[in-house]
Amino acid sequence: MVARTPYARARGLGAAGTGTREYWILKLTSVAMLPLMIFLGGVLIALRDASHSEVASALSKPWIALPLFLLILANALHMRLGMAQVIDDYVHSNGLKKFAVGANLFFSYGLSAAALYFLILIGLRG
Amino acid sequence: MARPSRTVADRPISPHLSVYRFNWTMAMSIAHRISGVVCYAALPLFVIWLWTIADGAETYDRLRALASSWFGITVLLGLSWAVIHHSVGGVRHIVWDTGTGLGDPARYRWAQGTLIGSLALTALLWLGVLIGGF
Repeated sequence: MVARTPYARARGLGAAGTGTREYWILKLTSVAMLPLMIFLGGVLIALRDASHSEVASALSKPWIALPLFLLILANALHMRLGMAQVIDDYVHSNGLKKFAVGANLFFSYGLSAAALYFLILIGLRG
Repeated sequence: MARPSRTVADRPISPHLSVYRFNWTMAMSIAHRISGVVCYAALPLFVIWLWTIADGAETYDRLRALASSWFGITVLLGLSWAVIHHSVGGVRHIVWDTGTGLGDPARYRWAQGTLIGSLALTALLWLGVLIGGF
């Protein structure tokens, strides 16, 4: 028999059971995204009346494409970890949780990969 | 030293929606989560934007027409508020992570400031775009 209180056994176990690494990545990506999101807003506003060829040539410039590339990467990690918290909090049935965790991964990384693909495609066409 | 086990039942239970009473930090916590989920759900729009540019002028012009309709502007207005609110909320969380602003009046001021800040920044952004012409 081990003399441990229920509190000692529960301590450090949130809904997910672990998470220091996830917490830190969530914070780092949030700091990275603050200037990058402002940059995206600036790009969208600057290009709002531009023609297709102007938009395509702007997005193929490295100094515009690279921050957007980094934004997509940081956002992919951030959105997956953020939604993982929501799943941990609200989805309790084991089967549904596995499905939600998988769907979250496919949605976050799948769409981010698609965004990177189109960004590269635009860049390669010049 | 272990407490007698009979005190276990008297401990406060984990707070949940039905146990909380309304306050500003709770409201902004919920708003942070909702705005985050809205941003999450909006990623397909970002991908569609890049796809139409990659696809060609005809496809991109169709997206532009949709985006500059009242429906499109309403969606973009709501989405920009969600992004801004989540960003301001993120700054507040990082300030709180340092241990500052957690005192009794301070944490409610920070929570109120999040809503006021996100509304003000969104209004400034759209006034600038629609009227100011930048």
